[in-house]
Amino acid sequence: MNLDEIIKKYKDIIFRMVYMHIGDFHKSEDITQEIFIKIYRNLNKFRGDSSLYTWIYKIAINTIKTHGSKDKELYVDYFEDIPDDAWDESKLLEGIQKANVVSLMQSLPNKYKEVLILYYYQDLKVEEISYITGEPSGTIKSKLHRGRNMLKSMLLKEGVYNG
Amino acid sequence: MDRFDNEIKKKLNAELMDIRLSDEAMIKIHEKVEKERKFFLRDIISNFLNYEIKIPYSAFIAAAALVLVVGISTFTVTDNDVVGFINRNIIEITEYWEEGH
Repeated sequence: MNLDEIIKKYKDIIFRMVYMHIGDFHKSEDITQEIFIKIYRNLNKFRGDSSLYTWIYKIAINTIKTHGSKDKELYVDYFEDIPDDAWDESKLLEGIQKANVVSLMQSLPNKYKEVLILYYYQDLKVEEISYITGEPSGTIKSKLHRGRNMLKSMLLKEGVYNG
Repeated sequence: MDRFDNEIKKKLNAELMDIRLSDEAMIKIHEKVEKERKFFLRDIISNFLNYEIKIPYSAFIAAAALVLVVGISTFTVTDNDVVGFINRNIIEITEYWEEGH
């Protein structure tokens, strides 16, 4: 796949990924440009050891990290370690419908946001996220669990406030 | 993935559907890539020069010196060359005096 084909296929996917991390539309466009330039510069080094999309996402994530903003403060109860089956599913689903999920994702701490975006939006497996972030699978699973719980807490609040 | 995950995924994709990279940004990407391609050619030349001349600098000097020595040693001045040179200058000098200086 040459660069033009890569740009055509991944331009919106990469841009959305950056936008979810950064939040600012214009800054996200600049970072997306930077990512494609890096892809161009390194394309001849891609040996096919991983799939092309994970390689592209790795470049994207590393570039986003260099532009990363500081985490916003979250309430302590978002960090509560609640088991998956202890949540009220109907209220959560109600929260999902009412909430702006992109905004909620953007407000998560970077380390959880990064993993959740790759998991939910890019639809990647834990092993693929592990390759992209350079972290062990166990760490990714743990981040997914905590990030998901934070998201659930926010969604429940959303349901309560908007309901 | 459980039901929560699937619903989040669905909602996320629905919300992001209208978020697209603008045409202006696309043009900028193509312009930058084009500029990079030109720089790439320049880099190849620059890297070649850096590698061939700058890094093995002593090797380059040694090669140049060798060429010089070999060049000088193969340039032989014969008697005929000397005679021809002297005669040519004598004629020029003679002509100079004959012109009435």
